[in-house]
Formats: sequence, C-alpha cells, structure tokens
Amino acid sequence: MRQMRTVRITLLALVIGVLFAGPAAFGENHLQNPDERAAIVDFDFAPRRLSVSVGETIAWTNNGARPHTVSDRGGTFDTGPIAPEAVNGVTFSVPGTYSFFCRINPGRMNGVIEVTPGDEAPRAVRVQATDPAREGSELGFTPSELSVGTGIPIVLANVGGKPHTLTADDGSFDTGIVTPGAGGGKFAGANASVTVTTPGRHPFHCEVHPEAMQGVITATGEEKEGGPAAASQAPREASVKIVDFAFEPPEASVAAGGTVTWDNTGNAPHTATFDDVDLDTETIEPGADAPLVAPAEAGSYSYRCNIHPGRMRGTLVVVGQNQADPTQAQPVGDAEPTGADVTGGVTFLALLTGVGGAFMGGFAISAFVRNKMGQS
Amino acid sequence: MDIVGFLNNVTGGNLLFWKVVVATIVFLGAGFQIFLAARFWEVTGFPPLKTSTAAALHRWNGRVTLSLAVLVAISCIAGPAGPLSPTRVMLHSIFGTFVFVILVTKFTILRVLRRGTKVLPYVGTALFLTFGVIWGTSVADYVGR
Repeated sequence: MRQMRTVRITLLALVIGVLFAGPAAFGENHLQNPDERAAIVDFDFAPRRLSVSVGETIAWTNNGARPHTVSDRGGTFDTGPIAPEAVNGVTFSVPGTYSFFCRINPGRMNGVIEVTPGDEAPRAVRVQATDPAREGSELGFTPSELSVGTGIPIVLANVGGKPHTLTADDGSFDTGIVTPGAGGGKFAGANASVTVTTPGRHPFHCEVHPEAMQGVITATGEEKEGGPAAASQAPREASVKIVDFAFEPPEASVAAGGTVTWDNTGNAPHTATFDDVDLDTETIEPGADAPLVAPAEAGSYSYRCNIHPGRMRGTLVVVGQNQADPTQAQPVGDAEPTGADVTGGVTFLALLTGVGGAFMGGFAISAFVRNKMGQS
Repeated sequence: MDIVGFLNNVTGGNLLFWKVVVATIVFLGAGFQIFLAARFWEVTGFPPLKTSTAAALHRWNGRVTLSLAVLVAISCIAGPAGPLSPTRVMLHSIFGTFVFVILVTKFTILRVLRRGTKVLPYVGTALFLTFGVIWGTSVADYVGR
C-alpha cells in the first residue's frame, strides 16, 4: 500500500511539474518599443557591434536555448540572465564605447556598443581602459582624446585584465586604482570617476602603465568649485523591482546624479515617493516602469509607496566620489562572477562521476547478459 | 509563471551548472540502480549484500534519483525544451521524452499488470542507457564549452 502511495505521489508530482512548466516556456516581452533590437544566439550576439544615441534603449531577445546575460565589461550594467525567448534591455545615458559580454559564457560571447552623444550636453562621459586581455586590444584609453564640460564626471571603466588609473599629469584628478575583472579580465571590471573642474587641456596617463597609456582631456566651460558629486564606484544606473508589496532590493545604491528605474512587476499600482526630497515617480501601473534622477548630493534617502505606505518602504543610497558603497559587500570588479568561474573546476568531477555511473551500469548489464547467455 | 527566471535566481545565475551537477548525480543514481538490480536478480554476487537489502536500497535510490530527474526535467521543459537544432539538443529532447515512456512502462508492469516482470531487466537497462544519452548530450556539451 505504502509503495503504491509513493508511486502515486511521484506521478502526481510529474504531472503537476509538467502542467506548471508549460506556459513558462514563453518569456514575457518587457521592452515593447526599444530603439534598437538585437538578438542573442547560442553562443553569440547578433550583431556584435551596435550603435545608439544617449537616451536610447537596446533590447536583446534571447533566441538561444540557454540563458545568457548582456553585461558591461566596465561594470556599469548587467541585464542578469535572460531566459530563452525572453527579452531584456539597457537604456544608455552616458556616451562612450561599451565592451559587453555574457558573463555565463565570457570567453565566447563579446560585443561592442558605441553610444553617441545626444542633443543635450551629457551628464557624464565614459572612457574605457583596455589592454591585451581582450583579443585585438592594446594598452590604451578609448577614447584617448576627449572634450568634456567642466564638472562633468568622466567614468573610467576597466574592461581589461590589468589594473589601471586615469590620472592627470599635473595630479589635479586621479581615479586611483581601478581593478580589472576576476580571472584576468574574464569577467566585469570596476569603474571609477573623476571630474575636471578647470577649463583647458589636461594630459592624463595610467599610473600603472604611464608610457603606453596616455591621453588628453579638453575641458570647456567655466571653472567649477569641486563640481557635482561624481559617480564613484556605484553604478550610474540602478533598478528596483516592485512586487506586491515590497521593493526589491529594499536598499539600492546609485552614483550621484545617476538614474534609478522602478519596475512594477506586481499586480497592483505602486509609487516610489521620497520622504525628504521632492522626488516622486507618481503611480506606476502593473507592468510599467518609471525612472528618476538621483539627488546630486551623496546620502541615504528613504522612500515609500504612497499607495501602500505602511507596507512598502525602501532606501536609496547615493554614493559620492571616493565613497564605499554600503550596499555592496565588495567592489564591482571583485563581485561574484557567477557562471564559468564557479563551475570550471567541476567539469572533471562531473566526468568522473558520470564514468562511475557508466561503470556500475555497464557492470550490471554485462552481468545480465552473461546470465542470459548462460541460460541459453 | 517564470520558472526559468526563478531557477536562475535560486542558482545565482548558474542554472546550467546546477543542471549538469544534478543530471550527473541522476546518471550515477541510474547506474547504481541497475547495479543493485543485478544483485537482487542474483545475476552477480557483487556487491556483497543480501538480496533484500539490495532491493530496499534499489527502491530508495530510485525514489531519490527520480525526484532529482524530475527537478532537472522541469527546468528543461520550462525553458529551452523543444528546439530540433543542433542535433545534440534534438537527441536530448527525444531521449528526455523517452524517459517518461520507459518509466510509465516500468510502473505499468510493476503496479498495474503485476506480471511480465522478466522484462524488467530490459526496461531497467533501457532506462539506464537513456539516462546515459541524456547525460552525454548535456554534460558533453557543457564540458566542451
């Protein structure tokens, strides 16, 4: 009787599993009207090179049979795993060159996005530090010559495999060491920012590779006193998922002046309304999202859902220049790379275990065969 | 219900890795199953266990292995199941489906018909070989990446 019950329960579990699993094979389209569409296939991006303007969104559809990510090698964005048939995307607010990759298949899936400035003056510009860790790349800055307004943060993204800095020859600005991604640049590196406050020509170099990595920043505009708070090591874009009835994560961080997007994945309308500053997404309907520009002043800002104020509260930490991000256990570049780094050492063990299974199975089959032949 | 997204989150983005690990344990379990079956069918004296002990172990190992197999199957069916290309994926899907057929056959013989148990070694062998193909068409690809 008990065995029959076990069998029934097992079969019931199988049926329930299949019933629930079926509809989920069709991923939801979160980005209905992107400016640019691209595809992910096993194991490549199509196309590998993309070009958009500031403020535009690229949506990637995963046409492969496996989950993949679209991740910035400089650590400023990461879609997270995109399931087969699902869509996810990124909206770009900072012009520059973005080397991106799939952090599940970092060696095989790589691409480049060129984000060109829009009509308005950029809130920040991006410089990539490259080195031979990327195939076809040399030690250098991309771009090595740039023109920015005074007070505009310059984000140095380390997409290589070695530590780099962006340091003024006259010492007026310095990012400090910006660490490469784990595994010699196999995964995403860190980023940091500086602000040029004095107009004029500012030669710069990498303190680690002073001969090979040099460039010039031409700053325009009026002299600034210190300039606005800079991007520091926190991301310039952050997203908070709204579920019924919580903000996930309840504590998010973003660089000063960065963009935070609240994505309502719940079934009820919600808001993100700040307690102490005049910031309010207003009502976000289910399935919609709403961005806000974070305050320029570093600090911790609490917010609530105005519709469910007793149950839904969150905190936005605005991280200034040279400040540690309190919501991160470690810097971006040292973050858990997931995927292959974790899994690489298991390959041999999996093979060994499989061989063990095959051996036992083979032993048993041969015993059955011998027995059968002995009978006949 | 975004099962793949949920499993991706649960595994910290390492869903494929954990599928490989669990699929490997399932294959090991499948090998152990017919290893024990060979003992209680008394076609071999190894391992040195009583046939009743081997039979009890066979039942429990089967339950654990089947539960793990269901777990992997759900993550496959909910996400990438279905593509017919490349050939590896097609074979994986076909043999994955075949497991259900063999299991239904086995339980029908054991629990419904309650006769014809002489064919069970063949059914068990087929089940083990099927798990072998499934394991080969998933782990082999993973190792090759």
